This record gives sequence, C-alpha cells and structure tokens, in this order.
Amino acid sequence: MELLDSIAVGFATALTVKNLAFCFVGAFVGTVVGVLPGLGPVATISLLLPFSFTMDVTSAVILMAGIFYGAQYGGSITAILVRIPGEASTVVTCLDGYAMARQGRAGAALGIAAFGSFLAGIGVTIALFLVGPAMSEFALAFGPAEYTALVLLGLLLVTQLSSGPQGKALLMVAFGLLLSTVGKDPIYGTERFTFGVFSLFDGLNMALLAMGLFGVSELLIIAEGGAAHAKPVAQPTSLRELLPNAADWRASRMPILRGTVLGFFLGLLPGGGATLSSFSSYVLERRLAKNPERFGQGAIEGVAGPESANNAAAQSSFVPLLSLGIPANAVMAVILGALLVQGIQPGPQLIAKRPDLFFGVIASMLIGNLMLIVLNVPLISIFVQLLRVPGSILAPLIIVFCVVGAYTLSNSVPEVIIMIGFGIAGYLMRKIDLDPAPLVLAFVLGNILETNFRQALLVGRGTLSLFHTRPIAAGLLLCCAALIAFQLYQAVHKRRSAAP
Amino acid sequence: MRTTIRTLSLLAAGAFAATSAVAQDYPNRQVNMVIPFPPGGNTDLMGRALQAELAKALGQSVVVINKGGAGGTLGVIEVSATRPDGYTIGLTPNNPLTAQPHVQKLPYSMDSFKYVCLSYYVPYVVMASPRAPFKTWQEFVTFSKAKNDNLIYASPGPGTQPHLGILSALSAIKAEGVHVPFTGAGPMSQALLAGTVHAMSESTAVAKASNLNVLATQTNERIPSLSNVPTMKELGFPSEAFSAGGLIVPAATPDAVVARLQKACQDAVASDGYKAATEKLNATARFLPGPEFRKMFDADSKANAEAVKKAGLVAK
Repeated sequence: MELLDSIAVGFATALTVKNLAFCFVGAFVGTVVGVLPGLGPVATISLLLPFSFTMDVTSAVILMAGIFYGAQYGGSITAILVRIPGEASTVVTCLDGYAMARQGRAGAALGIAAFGSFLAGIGVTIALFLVGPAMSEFALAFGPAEYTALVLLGLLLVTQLSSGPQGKALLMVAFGLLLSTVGKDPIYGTERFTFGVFSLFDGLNMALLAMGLFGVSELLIIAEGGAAHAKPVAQPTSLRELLPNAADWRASRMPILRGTVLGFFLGLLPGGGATLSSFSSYVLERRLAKNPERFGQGAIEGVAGPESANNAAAQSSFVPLLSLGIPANAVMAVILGALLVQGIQPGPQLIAKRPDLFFGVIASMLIGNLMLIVLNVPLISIFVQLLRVPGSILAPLIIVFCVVGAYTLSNSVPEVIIMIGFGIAGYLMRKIDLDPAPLVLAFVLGNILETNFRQALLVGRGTLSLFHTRPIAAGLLLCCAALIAFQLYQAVHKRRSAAP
Repeated sequence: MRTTIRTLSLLAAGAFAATSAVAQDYPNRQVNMVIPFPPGGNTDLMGRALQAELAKALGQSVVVINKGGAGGTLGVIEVSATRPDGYTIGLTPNNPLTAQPHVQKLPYSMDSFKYVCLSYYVPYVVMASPRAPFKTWQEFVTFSKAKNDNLIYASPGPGTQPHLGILSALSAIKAEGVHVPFTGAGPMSQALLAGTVHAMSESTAVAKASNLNVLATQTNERIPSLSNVPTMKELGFPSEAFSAGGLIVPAATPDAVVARLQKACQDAVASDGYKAATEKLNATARFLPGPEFRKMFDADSKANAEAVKKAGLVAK
C-alpha cells in the first residue's frame, strides 16, 4: 500500500502543468548542451542556480534532473555521429556507435541509444519506487577498501575492452594510469609532473583527454584522407529505415536489461559509478557475445548495453544525494547547492518530510525519459543529415566547437593546448593501431584507485588489514584473482590446442 | 561570446584611459565577478547570493565567472592579473589568500590586492561519525588523546579550510590523529556516515545535509541555529575556524573605484534578499569595510602560517 501511495504522490507532483513544462525544458536543454562538446550539464545547471533560489524547489530539481539525463542522451549523439564523447561515461559508445555510423547505420545506433536509455529509465524508476530509500545503505557499504577492489576489477575489465592484442591494451592502461598521476598528490599535496603549469595542479581533465584522443584525432584522420575520407556516408532517409529493425531489437534486448541492472547498482556509488557502469556493461556484452570480434566493428549490443547503463546510473545517483546528502558527481553537487539554498536538508528524514519532492523527482524522470523519446526519435532523421555535410566543412566546425568547449571548462587557454596535444597523440596512436579507450578509462579509474588505496592504507594505519577483514572488499579481490586465473587458463589452453 | 564582449569592452576601456574620469563614472558597464571555486560549492553559492543584490547596488549587471582549481588559487591568480579598473573583481574565501600562499608557491601574496569588503562568515564545527566510538565532546577528547593514531579524521585535501579547522581543534586539545584526505565534499561525507573516519571540521550546512552529530563549535560565541552546542572556548579549548569571504580587486585599482564597490557591497550585504539567502545556507551575512577585512585576513594568515608549519605542509 505504501508503494501505491508513493507512486500516487510522485505522479500527482510530477504531472502538474508547471512541472511537466519544467521537465520538458530540462530534457530539451539537456539534449542541446549534451550535443555541444565541452558545454556540459554542470555549467548549464550552475547558470540556472540563481533562478532556482526563487523557484519551487521540486520544480527546480525536476528541471535540473531533466538537464542532467537529457545531457547523457545528447552526449551519445555526438559520440555516435562524430566520435566525440562528452563525458567518460560515453567513451565506449564511440567504439561501436561511430563504427555503425560509418556503415550508414547511425539511425539504428541513435535509436537504440534512445530506446535503451528510456527502458533503463523506466526500470530504474520502478526500482527506486520499490526499494529507493533502502538502497542508501548500499552506498555506505563502500569504503576506500571496497572502491580499491572494485576499481582493480574495473581495470582488469578495461584490458578486455579492445579486440586487439592484450599487450597493446595493457600498454594503454599503463599509460592511462601514468597520466592519472599528473597533478597534486591527493594525500600530501606534492606536485607531480605539473612543470609549474597551474592548469595541471588538479591533474589532467578527462573531457580534454577524451575530446583530443577521440574527436580531434578523428578529424585529423579525415583531413589527411582528403576527398575520399571526407565523403559523406550515405544514410537511409525514411524514419522507418533509420530506426533499429527487428534483428537489432533481438540483439539488444538482453544487453539493455543487463545494462540497467549494472547501472542501477553502480550509480548508487559516489565517484565514477556512471563510468564504471557503461564500460563494464560493454565488456560484459563482449564476453557474452557469440562472436566477440564484431565488437568495435559496429555491434549494436555495444551501444545498447552501455547507453542503458549510463542512463540507469544517472538516475540512481539521485538516491545518495536525496537520502544521504552525498553528491555522487559534479552535477549532484550543484543540485545539492540548490536544495540547501532553499533550506531543504537532504537526509534520511527527507523522504518522510517531503515525499512530494523525493517521489515527484523520481516520477518526473519517467516522464522526462518519455519526453526524450518523443523529442529525439523524430529528430534522429535530422541528426543523421549532419553526416551528409562534407567532411571539409564539418571537420573545421567540430574543431571550433571542441576548442570552445575546452576553453569554457575553466575559462583558460592551457586547456585548449592540452586538448590539441592529445589530439595529435591520438592521431599518432591511430597510426600504430593503439586504441585510446583503455587509456581514457584507466585514466579515470587511476585517480579513484590511487586515492582510495592510499586512504585504505591510512585508515588501516599502514597495514593492508582492511582488504581481508571487510567481506565486500575481500570478495571483489577474489573475483579479480579468479578473472586473472581464468585468463591464464584460457591462454595456456589455447596454446596447447594450437600445438599438435 | 562572453569573452568576446569582455575583450571588446577591455579595449574600449583602454581607449580613453584617463583613469580619474573612468573612476568617476564607474561602473558604466557590466562587472565580472570571478569565483575561484566550481559551481555548487559554498563559495559559489555565497557569490551567487550576492550577485543579484550587488548588481542592484551598482546599477550594472554582475556576471559570475567560475574559475576553480588548485585550492582556489587559479581564480585568485586571474584576479591578481586582471586590469585594475574594477570591472573584474574577485569573491574569495580566506583559504586561497591566507593559507595557500604558505602551502604552495604562488605568483601573488596578500599584498597583491585591495580588500573591498567582507560579505559572509561561515563558522566551522567539529562533527562526529554516527559510528564513531565517541558521542560527546568529552569522549572525543579522551579517545583522541588516548593514543597518537587513535583518531582518524577527514578533509577534502591537505591545506584546505576543513583540514586547517580540525588541526586547530586538535592543537587546542593537544592531540594528534591520522589525516585521511578525500576528493571533495561528497566522498568525505560518505566516509563520515559510513564510519570510515571518525570526525571532521566543516560548516554546519554539511552537518545538517548529512545529519551528523555536532560535538562543538569552533567559535567564540554560540551559533544561533545550534544554541545547544557548546563552543570550544566554553569547553576550555579555545579554537577558531571559519570560512569567510568577500570582494577583492588588484592592488593598483583606484581608491575611488574601491570606495564605490565597498558602498555597493555594504548595501548588498544589508539587503533582505541576501540575508535570507545566506541564512538558508547556514551562513551569516556579515559586512566589514576594507581595512577591517584586511586585518581579519592578516590575523588568519598568521595563524595558518604556524599551523601549516606544524603540520609539515610548508611550500618548498
């Protein structure tokens, strides 16, 4: 009965004309800023912050939430069409999404990303109504030792990401980890590899790495390829042919479901949950696939799974915010600010005191996802037309957007230079067939790994005791060991069967 | 877009450079306010609360530019290097000016600026994890002093205001502990709630957001919203920790411009809108004119220099 009450309160709040309007505006604006590289949801939401001071608080959070998940979807549009991931969580979408676009299947990729996100959104909304408040305990079970073990497992999965030889993937992971050490030491504040450049004090920015290694390098390849490479890829024109077909749906059904579950749980973890969820979904699908060599060549499962996962994670990250006052990422931090300004204290009492806020926001996510579908599916045919623009015009335009995006990250020039540097590095890596995806993901994970491992050592007063006394950490470490053992076994087995 | 406008207007300002004339009709166009922290944080919210009222008082729009990074020093560097005409001002808390220069090598010092006004004050309190082995102030003191590495405390990084805050509290009770830095407020609150760490020093807003147990306030007088919590001074261990901020401009800014800004700041801080916003954020709207503002920061800087040296955080 309580469940029905929550649903009733939620929808009664979300379905008012005012809140529907805010939900729509949020989803729409979010999609737009997601498409523009660099101009992310954090910048947009913070621009709205002063207005939220005088708005009804539920409407304000509905609006901001709309921008947040709208941007998640918008980011996948650029990842698929022009290979520019706006955030770490869309890096893997570049792999197969862009490959699909080059094969004239951009519409199917965009469509499955939209429907996958939508279905994941529904799944998570229902889960939140059912168990939302109780899930906050889950976030608290993860301390430094658990994060260390989880990220270690994540790093092992990253090496499985690309189809090339394992050695190359390991090399990229090592480079990514090395790059993550740039900046101030997280514990003692010692400067590392900063060369006195103030922009490097807080380390390299993930968005610059991703824009450079993926986007700019691709544009350099297009520029080099001349007329042949810049030729637009023919895409079907009718919406019916554009959307995913029955075979696509059959292939995507389970990846969407698995991605949703992964995203739901990992999204509850502050710090890196969304990123972890999207690529672990990708690796999972690749592992489960009958012919994994298709991955990276335009496998629709490689878009469906991760896109569902990152949307699920985006939504479940509201639980630690609203029930514990813990912002899981920069967007949540701004929303927390908006709540505090209104005199709303998130916390265990929030659900009891303001059910309209908690369940209203959750219900608005469901409606917002529906609006995103209605908004974006007809737009797919327009987005796809973008690929008809000749590369000689499109490429310079994208470079301009990337430069503007890099600059606006912190209103400074060194960021632009760093991004272009990584663009050139990415170009050279492409020439020798090195995949940038493991590098970017290892970079993101490296930061989490180092901080948490050292915290675990500090809390354990210099010993590794936390890793064997805490069951979740120990369990995750056992999974790592099992994964390594399995791979060794596979390698030995392959060699044996290869030898007569 | 915004930058183009700024560049153009800077050029325009350069064209008729007769400073006194410029100072007299100041401000005749938009004023940019650099906030040296990312959106959503305490400084940002304080800045945005002031923004509208300051615009009213100046009769010109005020645009917020977030330039976070390196403990707030990147934004302050930008203010120090800006054209001293009052069209780019900074809103900074004490830490980047009174602590960071002791911790890292910086191209600015306290003397690189003119101090316009203090606009807010946020006192810090010592709070405990719900799973900590102590519930009261007395238990906290006994636990912390029992063994040098008994207490585990959190901060959002070495040399940050919460770090200096807890160091001040521990120095007052003559105890030590294990410092575990986190990357930002979110992971830090999570660690405290989960019992990974025992205690930290932060604003009351943080304590309220995560429903944490406040042991004592690091103030000389009781905080009205926490009237049942004793101050450390009452408890016999005087310790003061706070985050307080206001407007600064480059040292070469004409006095007439500074005076105009100070007047506008005074009006803005006194406005009902600003007071209401700061109250909701668990901060105090507090105005101090330039000279007193500077004095407050000088004293803070002196105290921090000692604390930083004691903790071994000094810049090479």
